[in-house]
Amino acid sequence: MATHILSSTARSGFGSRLHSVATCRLPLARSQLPHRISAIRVQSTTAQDTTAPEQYDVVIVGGGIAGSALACALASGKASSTQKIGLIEAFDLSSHAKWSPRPDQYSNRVSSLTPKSVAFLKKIGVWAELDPSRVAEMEGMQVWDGVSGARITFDAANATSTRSSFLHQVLSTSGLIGNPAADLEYRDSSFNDGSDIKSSPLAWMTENLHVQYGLQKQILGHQERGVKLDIFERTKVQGITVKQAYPTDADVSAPAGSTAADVSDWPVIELDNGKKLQARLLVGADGVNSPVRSFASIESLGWDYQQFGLVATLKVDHLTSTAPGNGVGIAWQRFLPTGPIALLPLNNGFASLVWSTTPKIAQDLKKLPASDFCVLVNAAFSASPAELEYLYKNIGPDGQPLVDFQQETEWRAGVQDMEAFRTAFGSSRTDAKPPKVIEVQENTRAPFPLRMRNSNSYVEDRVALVGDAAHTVHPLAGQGLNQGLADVECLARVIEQGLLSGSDIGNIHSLTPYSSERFLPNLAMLGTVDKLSKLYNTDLSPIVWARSLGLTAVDSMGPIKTEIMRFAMGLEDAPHSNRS
Amino acid sequence: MSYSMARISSRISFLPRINAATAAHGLRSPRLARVPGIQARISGARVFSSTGTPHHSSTNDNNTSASSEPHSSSSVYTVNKEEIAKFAAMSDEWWAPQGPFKMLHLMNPPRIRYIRSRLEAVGTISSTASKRFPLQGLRVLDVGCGGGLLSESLARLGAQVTGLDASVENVQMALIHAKKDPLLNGGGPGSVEYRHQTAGNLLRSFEFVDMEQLVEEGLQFDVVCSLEVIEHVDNPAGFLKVLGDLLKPNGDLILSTMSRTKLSYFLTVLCAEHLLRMVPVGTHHWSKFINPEELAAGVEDLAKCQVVNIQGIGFNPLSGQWELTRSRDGSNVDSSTGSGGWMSLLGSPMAEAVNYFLSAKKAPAP
Repeated sequence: MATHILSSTARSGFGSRLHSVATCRLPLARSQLPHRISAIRVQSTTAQDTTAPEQYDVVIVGGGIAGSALACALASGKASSTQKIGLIEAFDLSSHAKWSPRPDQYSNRVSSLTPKSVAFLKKIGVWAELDPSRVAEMEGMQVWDGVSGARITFDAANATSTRSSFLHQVLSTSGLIGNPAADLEYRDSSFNDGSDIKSSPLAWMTENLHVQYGLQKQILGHQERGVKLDIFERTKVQGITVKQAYPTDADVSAPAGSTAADVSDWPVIELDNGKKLQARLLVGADGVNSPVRSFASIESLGWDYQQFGLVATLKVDHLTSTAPGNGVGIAWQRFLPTGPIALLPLNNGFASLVWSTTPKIAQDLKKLPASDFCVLVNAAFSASPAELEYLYKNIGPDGQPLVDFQQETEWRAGVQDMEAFRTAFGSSRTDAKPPKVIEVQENTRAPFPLRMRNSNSYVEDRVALVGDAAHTVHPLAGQGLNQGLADVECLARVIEQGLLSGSDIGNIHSLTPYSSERFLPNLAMLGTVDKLSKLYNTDLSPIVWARSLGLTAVDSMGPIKTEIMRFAMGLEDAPHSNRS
Repeated sequence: MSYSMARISSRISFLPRINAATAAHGLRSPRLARVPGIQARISGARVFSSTGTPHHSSTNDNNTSASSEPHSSSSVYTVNKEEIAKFAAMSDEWWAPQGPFKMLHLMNPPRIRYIRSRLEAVGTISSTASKRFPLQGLRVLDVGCGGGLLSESLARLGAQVTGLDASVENVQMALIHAKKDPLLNGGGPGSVEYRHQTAGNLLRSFEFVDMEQLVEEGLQFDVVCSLEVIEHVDNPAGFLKVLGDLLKPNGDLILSTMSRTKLSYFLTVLCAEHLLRMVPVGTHHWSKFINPEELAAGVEDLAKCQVVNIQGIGFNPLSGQWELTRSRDGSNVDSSTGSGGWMSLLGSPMAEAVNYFLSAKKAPAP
C-alpha cells in the first residue's frame, strides 16, 4: 500500500500541525549516525515492513516521578488498566526498586509533598511502599525577611481554621471549582476524618529516590498482575515523526479490503535501539527541554533567573534551636537579597538545604571546605546581608576562605546579640532560631540553574505534557513536584473518563479537559512564586518596607493566611467540574 | 440542535461520481426529513463497512463502481482521489475542536454517560459487564449519525453499530474517520458500519423480503438512538413509528431533542445562533421543537415503547461543559457535577425546558 503526503493547501487548522512539524530531530540524537532522516519522511511501506512500529494506547516519554506516577495511575484505573502502555526512560528504572539507603545518609534531592500529593500517592498504592522512617513530617514553617526581620509563621492549624471559606463555597456551588465531594475524597483517603486534618502535617519531606522506589515497586506489581505496561529503559528517543496526515485513495476506497486501520496521524517514536512505537496518545514527561513538546511545536515561555539553587544534605543540632520542640519538623526559610535560603526537615537530625543565590556564589559554596560551608549556612540564617556579602567576597578563587569564617561570624554575632537584647528589651517578641548546622554530607552539594517556564498549551492532538515538560517553577515554594503530581492525577482521571465514554483518548477533544483544568492553577502558582522571588530579590528600602508591612500584616490576618496555606498545601482545588 | 450536514453539504459543489441508481435518488438533499420519498430498492442500499467483507473493486481509478456481493444485497462503492481529499478535509473540519461542531463534540461524553446509565438502569447492560467493553454484544442503530461521533464512541465501548445518515457526505466523512482507529477495525469487539439512508428507507428497502430474511439481515436492533434529529424531521409521527419497528422486542429507544419553550428559543435560536454564533445560523427551527410530554405520547402511541426516563441537559457556560440535570425520579447520572447541573436549579419542569433526553423500552416478545 503506497503512501504519500498530500499537499497541505486548504486544510483546516486541525491537521496543519502535522504538516508544519512532521519530524523532530532531538538534540539527544547522536549526530554521528550514518544516515539522517529528512524532515518529512516519505515512506513507501508495505504491511510486511519489518520495522513496522508497535502500537500502544499510551506512550510516556520520561520515567521520572511524573512519568512513572502516570504509568502507575493508569495501571490502577479500572478502564485505563486495560490499555497498552509504554514507558521510555533514558536511564535505569529497574534499579530504583533495589534502592537500599544507609540510615545515616540522605540524597540531596528532596521534595515536600503536599497533603494532596500524598493523597494521590496513597490512591495509586505508592505511599504504602515507602519506609516511614525516611519520611519526615513538616509541622510548621518559619519564613522571614533577611533585610527587615519581618516574619510569618505557619502551622497546620492555620490551614484548617476555616474549613470552607465563603469564597470556596460560592465557587463550589457554581461549579467553578471542584465539588465538595471530590475535595472530601482527598481528605478521606488521606485522613480518617475532617477533624484529623488539624493534626496532620503541612507537608511530608522525603527523598525523590524514595518516591521513585515506591513507584517502581508498584509498576512491577502491576506488571505481575498482567497490566500491559512495557518499560523501555536505558534507551533514548531518537526521533518522533508523523508519517502523514491524510488517508490516500487506497485507504478509503478499499474499506472492505483491509482490516488494518489508518493510524498515520499517530506519532511514531523511534528509540536508539531501533525499536519503534506508535502511540494513540504520546505523553511528554521528559523535563524542561521536553523533546515531546518540541515535536508538538508547543511553545514554552519563561525566563532563566540569574540565579542558581544549591542543594545539600545537612546534619543539624536541634538543641540549638529556640523553636518549640527544638524545631523538629519545622521548615525555615529566609529571604536574602541574593535569593531565599531554606532548611527543610528530614528524620534523625538531618535536613535538606535549598539555597537560591547568584551563579558565582553557588559555585563558590560548592567548593568551600565543609566546615566553612556550615559556618556560612548558619550565618545565612542569622547574619545581616551586609555581613554575608563580606563573607561571600572572602571566598578565594580556589574555594578556600580568605579569612577565618568561624572567627568572623562569632565575633559579629556576639555584638549583634547584645544589640538585639537592647532593642528587644521591653518588647515581647523573640524570634525562634533555626537549629545550627554541624555537618554537610559528603558529595551532596550540587548547584542547578533556576528557571521559570510555562508551555502555551499542555495538549495537542495525540500529545499531552505533564510536569516540568509543561511548566517549570522556581523552587522557593517547593511546589514543582506537587504540580507535576497534580498534572498526573488530572490526566489519569481525564483518560479514565474518556475511556468510560468511549472517546479516542488521544483526540484533542478528550485531552482538552486536562489542559483547561491544569493550565490556570499552574500559571497561578508560577506567577505567585515568580512575584515572590522578584519581590524578595532586592534590598531597596521602599520595597523592603512594603513587603515587611505585608508579611507582618498577613501574619496577623487569619483568613488570608489560611487561604495562602491551603493553596500551598494543595487543598484549594483547581477550577474543574468534570470529575465522576 | 442539529448537526446534520446541512451547512457543509450545501457548500459542496460536486456529487461523488456514484452509480446511476444512487444519483437518481436525489441524494443531495441535506436533511434527513427532506429526502423525498426515495423508492430505494435492495440494490440501492449502499453499505460502507469499515470492517466488513472482502472487497472486489479496489482497482478502480477515476470511475466508481458498484459490485454486488453474493451474500448481501449491498454494494460497495468507491470514489476517486480528489473527492477523497475533499471528504478528508471536510471530515477534519467536522472533527475540528474549534469548528462549527464544537458544541456537538462537547455534548458527546454526557450523551454516552446518559446512554450507559439508562442501559444499566433497565438491565440491558449487566452490572458485571466488562469495564472496557460494556456494550459488547449489543446491536445499536444510530439514526442521523452525522460524522460518526456517537457511533464511534458506542463502538469503542464494544457495540456493533450501524450509523444511518441522509447525507452521502456525512457517511463518507464518518467512514474516513472510522478508519483512523484500530479499535473500530478489528482491535476490539465493537464495529461500525455506515449506511447512507433514512430510517424509513432502511425498512422500506426490505419490503419485498420476507420476515425471515429481515431477521437474518439483523435489521432489528437492541438499541436505537436518534439524538437531536426528530426536530428536523418533517413527519415526526412516521419517524417514531419506524424507530419502533427497528427495535427488537425488549429493545431500548434513546431519543433527544429540544422543548418548544420561550427559554429554548432564547438560548438556542437567539443566543447560540444569532448572538454568540456558537452554531451556524439556521440550525434550529423552533416551531419543530417538541415538548417532553408530546414526545412521550408519540413514543408510547407510535413507537409502541414504554417511556422510562426523561432528563434534561444544559450547557454550563462557566465550565464549558454540558451537564445532565437531575431526572424526574430524582436520580442524578452525572455524579461529576454534584448539583445535577445549573438547569436543575430552575426546578423540575424547567430542567427539560431546552435540551432533553428520553429513554423508552419496547415490550418483550409476546
